[in-house]
Amino acid sequence: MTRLGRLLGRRLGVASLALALAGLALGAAGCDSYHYYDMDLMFSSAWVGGINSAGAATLCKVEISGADSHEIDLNNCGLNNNNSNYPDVGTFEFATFADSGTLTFAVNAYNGSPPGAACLFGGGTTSIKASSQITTMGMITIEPNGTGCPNGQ
Amino acid sequence: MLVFVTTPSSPARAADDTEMPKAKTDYKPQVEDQDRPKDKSLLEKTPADAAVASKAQSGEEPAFYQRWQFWAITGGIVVGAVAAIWGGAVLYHTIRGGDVRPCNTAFLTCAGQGEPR
Repeated sequence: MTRLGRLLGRRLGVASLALALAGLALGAAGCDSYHYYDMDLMFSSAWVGGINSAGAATLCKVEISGADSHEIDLNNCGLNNNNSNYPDVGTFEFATFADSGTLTFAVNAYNGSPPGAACLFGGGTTSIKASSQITTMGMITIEPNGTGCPNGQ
Repeated sequence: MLVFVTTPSSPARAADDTEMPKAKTDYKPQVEDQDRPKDKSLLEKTPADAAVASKAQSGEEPAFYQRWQFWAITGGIVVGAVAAIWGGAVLYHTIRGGDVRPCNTAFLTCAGQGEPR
């Protein structure tokens, strides 16, 4: 073999070794796997007037904290145009790699446009233990807990 | 057991011994080498032979890029690098959890890791 061949062959060997080491390092870092939390959002029966009061919702902010953190905005708190999905508005899914610890889902419901802190008129919190389970079901109930903006302004 | 022993004393043999040897004829090879050039000019060296011989004696090696080994190794490195980059990206994506599952159309929304913001 020529000198050139030996030199290039040696470099190829070094590159292969570097690739193998990179693969080992990635493998040692561990593999992530998705876990899904399907949270059913619903208004409680404590809303006086039912949909006439809860239907004023313009925004629900879902703040996730604990084992993972995220923020989800749900326009109209997930209520559809004719509010036919009241009081159980539906399910949202949160995907995370977290498989231990606790996930806390805090929902704040606002009326008014734009919805500000003074327009808070409902909320609810649910904590769920994160696990290796792929899909975990949960429920968040929104209770009336504020006056909201007067006349929804 | 009965054993017979014979001796070479036939009349024909006796006749051979009395014949005189014939005179030798001219030597003619049975096989003639037709490949051997009889024209001496064919064996003389040509200018091209001299050029090749001089180049061989000078000991000059072809440039590295004129060697097939160079291109074979270079091609291998390029293909290997592309494969390593592609494979590394796939491996990294897989280790990072791969693709998030599709969002159920009946859900209000899907959010979190791997979901489009």
